[in-house]
Amino acid sequence: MFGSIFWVIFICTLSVITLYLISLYNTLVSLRNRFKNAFSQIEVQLKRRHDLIPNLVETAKAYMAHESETLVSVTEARNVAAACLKVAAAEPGSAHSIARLGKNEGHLNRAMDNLNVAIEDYPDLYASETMMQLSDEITNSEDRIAYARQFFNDAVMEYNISRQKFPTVLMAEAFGHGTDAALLEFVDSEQIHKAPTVSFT
Amino acid sequence: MNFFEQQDRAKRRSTYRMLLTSALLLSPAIVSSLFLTTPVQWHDVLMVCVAILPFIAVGYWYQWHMLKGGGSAIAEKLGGYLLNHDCDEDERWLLDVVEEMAIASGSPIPLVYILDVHGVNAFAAGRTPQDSVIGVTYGAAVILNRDEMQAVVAHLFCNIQNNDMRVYARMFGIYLGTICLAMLSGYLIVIGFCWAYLVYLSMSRVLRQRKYLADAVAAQFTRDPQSVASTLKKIGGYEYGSWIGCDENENFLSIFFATPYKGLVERWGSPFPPLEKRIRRFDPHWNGEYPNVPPLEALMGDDEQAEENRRRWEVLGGLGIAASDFKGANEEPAQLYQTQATVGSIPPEVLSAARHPDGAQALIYQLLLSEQPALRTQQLTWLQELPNTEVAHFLQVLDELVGGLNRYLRLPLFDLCGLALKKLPTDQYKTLIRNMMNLVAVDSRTLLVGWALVHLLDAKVLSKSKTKGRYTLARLENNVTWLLATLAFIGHRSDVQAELAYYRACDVLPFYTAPLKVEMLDDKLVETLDNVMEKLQQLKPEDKEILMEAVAVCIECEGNISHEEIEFARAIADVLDCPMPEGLETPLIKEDATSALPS
Repeated sequence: MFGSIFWVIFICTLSVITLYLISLYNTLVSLRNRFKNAFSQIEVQLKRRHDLIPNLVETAKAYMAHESETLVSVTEARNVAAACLKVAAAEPGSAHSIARLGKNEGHLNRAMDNLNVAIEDYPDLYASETMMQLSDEITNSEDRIAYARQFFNDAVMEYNISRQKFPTVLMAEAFGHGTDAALLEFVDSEQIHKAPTVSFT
Repeated sequence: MNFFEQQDRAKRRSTYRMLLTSALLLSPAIVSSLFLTTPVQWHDVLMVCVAILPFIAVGYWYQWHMLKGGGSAIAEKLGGYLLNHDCDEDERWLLDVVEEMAIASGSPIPLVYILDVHGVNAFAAGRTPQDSVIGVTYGAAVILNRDEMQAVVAHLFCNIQNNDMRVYARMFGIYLGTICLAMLSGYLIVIGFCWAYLVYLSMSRVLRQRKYLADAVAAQFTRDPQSVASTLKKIGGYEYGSWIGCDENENFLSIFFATPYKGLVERWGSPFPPLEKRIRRFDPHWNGEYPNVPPLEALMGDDEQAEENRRRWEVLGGLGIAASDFKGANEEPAQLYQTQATVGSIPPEVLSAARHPDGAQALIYQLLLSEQPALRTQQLTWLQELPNTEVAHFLQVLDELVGGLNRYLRLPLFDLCGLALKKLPTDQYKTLIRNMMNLVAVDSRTLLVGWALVHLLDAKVLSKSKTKGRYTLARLENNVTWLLATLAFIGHRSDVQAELAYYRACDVLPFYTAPLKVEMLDDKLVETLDNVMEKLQQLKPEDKEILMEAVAVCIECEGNISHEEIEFARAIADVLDCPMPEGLETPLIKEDATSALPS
């Protein structure tokens, strides 16, 4: 009599624990897939931007014969960033590739800023219709990239939080969720560190 | 509070209220088992519970059936028209906002409908995220700026994501079920309806928590909690509020962003939290005052007036929160100025020099020296050629003492000097004024301030003839607006800020004013200013006070008052012979024990 009651209780407890573990595992899996999906959003938007940049460079070339350096640096930065995006899209969970993507996108942003400053010296180019359309498009897609990145980072944060919570943190390693996912930051630290110099004279 | 914390709080409270609702729903079963005298079997209790369920199921099915057409059907029923992708610039931005928020929330992009009503409101409808649509009223598209529209749309996306429509359908089902049951309860009908009402109330509290949750999520998606708050404030200050006038569609009430018709606000069972509470979640220090939103008619239309109104609203409304906080901060810049002007200590030597006619002259020259080294040397060489040796002596002594003075002290010091200068013969005083103008003319930007300081002294030293007030402000509109615009440009760095200050000041005036003209700094500035002031002197006394009020609003607009601004304002007040507005009076210098003149 006692033996059978013991076994019933034992089996019940065991199955409850198993169910609980399964739910933990499932949460982790769905959260991971959510941030991977979020990354694909970023990928779409970044690709759009990478496709627009060569058009912009092509348009600018006709006017800016003396600024080929700026144009070349934009093209180079764009190519590197596009390559990094491909690598990162293959494994959005890897902190290394995400960090590299962030760094190179930062470079691309800086190169684009330089280009935009340079363009202002060419009023004809600045006012041309193709140029205006292109820069509209690019600003638009930059806005979207910002929101996609925000969504990705939120999803990553949620995943990391649930991974680090007790008791998941004890099991995460064994479940194959050993490392935190990395946040995507576009490195523009140089701009932040260098305070703009403003003079009112 | 962080918006993630707010989300957690709203979720937790929503769960509690959900539990309360369930408990209330099952209360007939519990009550009957507790209080009925006859011993009750447990399966009787179960039977009562089971009896409630079919009613709820039927109610739910009915509501779900109504939604069969998806969101588009509801939007069209409410009178909305679909926004196409090949629309013009005016509507394109709305689609952009929706797309951005769809990305930020990770949802599919819904169709967008425009409701042709004046109230500021929006809704999301649909059975699943895929067939959901978003509707925005025309009023919202005009009144709200881009950031605020983002907040509204983000709120709707939270509704879509959480599948709130399904929750509403369920709740409505429960509501219908309870009503049916109450009607069937025979001689217990009164108690039955009380019970149904209690269930309804607790459900509305669940819905209110979901609104708070959606607000907090909107803050997360836009990363800008203040735009949520400023949207709600604009709704509060707007003539039509968020009404869309659809009493008959009561079963779709809760899909809206804010209360869709007026009568609902006071009702206990309203699924919308009070506007003030929603605002205070994001802006705890809000003073309870709503911004002044222009009526929609003033912004629509093709004539020039409407165009100008639209532009002005973009400048004022574009700053969202700042516009509404302005009134609360009204006292602050004045206080700031008062402390600035009294805190700095004046060396006793300077004070005693100010009481001596020659010392006062030297002090005035010193106070007019520019801060820029090049201009300063130019001014100094010019000063050395002055014939009066006494003044030259004072100049040298004061040189070091004045350099470290707080700039705000210039005004009280000038007042003090004015007393001493009364003793000066008229021709010497004239020379002093000429010299002052020459000193100031070195730098074109300080020209107006120089004008102000000269007039300050004039008011103190020269006896003035009384002018008769015969004009009203409206008669002198051109002069008034010119003065305010000049004032706005003196104190504000960027054009936008100047424009904002100008419009705020114009709001004080009792009539509609012309748009701001930017070409202010022409060659004949001082002459124009003299002409303008001569005209304004003939204003009626009460109109002068209104003008000074506008001047005060203009200089306080930025949040702090620069010393140039206050000097200019004082000069205007002196020329008009009108007291300074409350709080902006020049503080008196404390009369300490007098010390010897500097040797």
